[in-house]
Amino acid sequence: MNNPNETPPEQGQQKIARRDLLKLGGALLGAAGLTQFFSLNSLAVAPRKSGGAEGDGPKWGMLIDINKCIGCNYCTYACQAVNNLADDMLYNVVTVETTQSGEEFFLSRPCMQCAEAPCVHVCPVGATYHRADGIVAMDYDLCIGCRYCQVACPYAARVFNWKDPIEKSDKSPEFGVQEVPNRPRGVVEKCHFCTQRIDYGVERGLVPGVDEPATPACVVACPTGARVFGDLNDAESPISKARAEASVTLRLREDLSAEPRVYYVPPVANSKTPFIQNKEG
Amino acid sequence: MLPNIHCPTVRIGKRSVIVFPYWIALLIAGILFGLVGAVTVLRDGLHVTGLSNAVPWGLWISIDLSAIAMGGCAFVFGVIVYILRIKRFEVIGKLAVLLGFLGYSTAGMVLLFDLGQPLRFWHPVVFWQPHSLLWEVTMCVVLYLSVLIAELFPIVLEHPVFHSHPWLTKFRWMGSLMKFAHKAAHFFHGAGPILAVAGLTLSLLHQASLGATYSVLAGRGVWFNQSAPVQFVFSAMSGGIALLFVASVFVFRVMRPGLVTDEALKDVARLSGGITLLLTYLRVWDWAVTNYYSFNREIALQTEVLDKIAPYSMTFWIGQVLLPVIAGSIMLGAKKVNFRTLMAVSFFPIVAAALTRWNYNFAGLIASITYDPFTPNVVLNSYAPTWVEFSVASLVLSYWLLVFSLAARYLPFQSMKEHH
Amino acid sequence: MTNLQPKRKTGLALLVSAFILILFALLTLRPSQGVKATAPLQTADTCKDCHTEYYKLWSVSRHGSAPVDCGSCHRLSGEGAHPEFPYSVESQAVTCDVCHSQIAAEWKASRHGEINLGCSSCHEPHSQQQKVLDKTQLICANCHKEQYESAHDATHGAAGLTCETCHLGEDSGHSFKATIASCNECHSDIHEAKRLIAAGVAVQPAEGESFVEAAPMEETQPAEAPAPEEKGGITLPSWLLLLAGLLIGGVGAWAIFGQEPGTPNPEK
Repeated sequence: MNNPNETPPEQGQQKIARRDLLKLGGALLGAAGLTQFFSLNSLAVAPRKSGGAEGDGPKWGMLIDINKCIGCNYCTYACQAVNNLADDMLYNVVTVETTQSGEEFFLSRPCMQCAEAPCVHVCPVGATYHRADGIVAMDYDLCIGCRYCQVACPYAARVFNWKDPIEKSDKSPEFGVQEVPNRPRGVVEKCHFCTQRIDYGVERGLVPGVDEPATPACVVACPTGARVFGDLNDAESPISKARAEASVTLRLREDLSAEPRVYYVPPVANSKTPFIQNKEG
Repeated sequence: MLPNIHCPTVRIGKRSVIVFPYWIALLIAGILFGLVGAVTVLRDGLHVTGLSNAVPWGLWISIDLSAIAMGGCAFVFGVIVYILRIKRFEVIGKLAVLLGFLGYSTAGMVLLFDLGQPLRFWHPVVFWQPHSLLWEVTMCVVLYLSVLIAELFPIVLEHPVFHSHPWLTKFRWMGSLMKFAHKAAHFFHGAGPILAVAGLTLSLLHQASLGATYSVLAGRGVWFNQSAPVQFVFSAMSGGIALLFVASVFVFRVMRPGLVTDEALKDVARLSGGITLLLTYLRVWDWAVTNYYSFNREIALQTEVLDKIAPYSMTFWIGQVLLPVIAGSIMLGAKKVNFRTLMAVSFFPIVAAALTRWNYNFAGLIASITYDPFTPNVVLNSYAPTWVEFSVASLVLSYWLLVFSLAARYLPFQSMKEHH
Repeated sequence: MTNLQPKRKTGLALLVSAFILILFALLTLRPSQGVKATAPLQTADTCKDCHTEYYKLWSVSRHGSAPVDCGSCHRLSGEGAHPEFPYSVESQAVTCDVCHSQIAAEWKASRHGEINLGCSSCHEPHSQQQKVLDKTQLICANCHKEQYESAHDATHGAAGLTCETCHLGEDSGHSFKATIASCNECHSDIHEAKRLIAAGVAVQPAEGESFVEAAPMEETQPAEAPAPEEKGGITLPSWLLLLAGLLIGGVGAWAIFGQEPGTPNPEK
């Protein structure tokens, strides 16, 4: 777990192990006489749920270089403008955290888009689901607002729509204009890696992570280029290059095996960059 | 006709006043107050509650879980009456079915207010997601509520009004409807053992899954343990049967003397007492395992933070361990104890079952683990229920008590076989 | 072939003169005209119906009065063609830098330029004004929080000076380097000022400047934040405790002094 740069063969083995476990579970359930039950269900929702962790095709991920983050909150503002979010409903937050040696740094946190997302596992109606490209998306027409996903998410990445949606975010138009429809009161919302941009871009042959119109708003808005976006399965994508370049990357709370798709470049100790502020300094 | 029902009275001076109408008036007032909060939350949305993104589950979920626990007596007595076929519990079994129905319908009612989209309450039944424990719980609760209704149906139909009301002959359609209803009731009564088995399966599944709802969440530290499902099942049995004991002393010994023997009533208390002691034993071991055997920095920090909140540690050691042990011991030796003491101590397992759920619900939410990579910590979130939450709580509690009181007053728990 | 010679001659003359003309044009071409040349459409009138907000910001801006409209930055692929995406803007180097070459040079030399913190980080591109986060503070404070706070608490902050006063003056420009000239604007005689302070004479604002009321020192001391464990938790109303107490007391009293439930009423 301490080595975040997992090589593809390891992932493959994990995949197989997971599949075997699933098979075993399936056999047990079959013995319980519930197979009918499950096949019915898979018929009902199969078309959308084409794999979260496995499968070919792009798997979108993000890399955030903590050394480059200056805590300007532009990612949050762009997110607010694009998703029309009130100030107390942030998908993306920037907090000040400390290293073990007491140095302060900025930690910006979008949704981790976990491959084994706890929120997807717990949703009682399947309103939270994995898209084929690995993004954990929401079906706001299905959500009943039980908030189990909020309770399950270890990253506090989910926000509940306690109130009616706001007219217009005060971050708009300076940081962007609204690109997705408003969500009704009483559903749980989340960061979706700006799927509207990814889908739009991919349709037109643009490359998310390279072409700005197809890249999540927070990545585009970042003034220092601390955020890198792209296809984790493509060795030539900006994120794969950045991951290869970084000597070490980490993911938040890897002990939980949620397999997040957001990677961080940890702050370099005794770095000369002004962005890591020493407590004593 | 109806057995002789003694309504509780209170002596004021020389007069003896029947409490019933005043009690019902009080409950209706409670419902009216509750309706104000219910309308407020449905109209204005959940921001009128004290819930937040950090603590999204609060008082209502605790009430919901507790109400389901209070229905825990129904599946135990379904087994005792229909599968073990112990005759002396037959009448008490009917009350257990009523309490089960009340518990589950109360839970469903309070959940309706807790959902962000109350009109989509039926979604889990149609849009299946079998990986989710909450889906499984919802399905089990829906199915079990149907089982309980099927079990309750013949009991309610035994009321003479459904047999010999003048309207039944005056309006022919009513008569034929009743004939059909009695046929259905007869069918359900005959299906008793099947319903009991279904009830047992569904109950064990969802009572355990309610514990698992919390215990599968690895990110929440103190919740992540294996014994929660077992504890939820046992505490539902201990609390639910203790409630059944209190209710049955009231309904049978006070209001319908002679219908149930004192020995049978005391056996109910003994059963609850035994399960309570077993549960407390498990509970203490669970505490030891959480705090000692699987020492984990995060969980240690969480427990430390939780211990600082007085209600948490106090309710655990006094409410969930000390008092239930005392109560369990007394109830286990019920044969030598008078009913007054038994009824008083029966409240402890009931309260303990509710406290377990209350504490469980808040443990992982109030003391939550941060996600920062190098110095993860435990933060104390805050939650203060608002009047709306207490108002809706009053609504569902008044509903529970009102239906129970009406049933206690009017339902014949005696079998009316001679009418068939 | 001979009869073609005069034509060839004129052709050659035309070619040469055209060449000279083009050369001349290239030499004298102003960068702003260059931008204009790539966007021959008067696009603003076409765009304003849908992109009202941006149009409003643009129309009152300096770009709005200069011949720089939507198409200048949002390159359109042809007559009447809609841009592929609202963000189809070329890089800063071929939009902003073309006209604002002096500022671009200053910026490149600055720390902002070093980490490639581009124009649109601080400027709203449609109004060209500084981005507004909070009406009372400059965008600078968004990143330079510590400097902003310390300046705000100090004499300069109290005197109503902002970041711009020193870091974006005539001399410094977009290099953001404060120069001695900035200091000299107020402190032309530093020794005189020192003497006055020592003598206890209140410092007067420079001409055209005004002091804002300095905050008392006590208030500027940050209050000791309570430890996170101290706050939070579950807060229940006190009447609930009272209710629970009444219930426990009632049941207890009944258990000790009350009647056995179900014993026949003595009146009956």
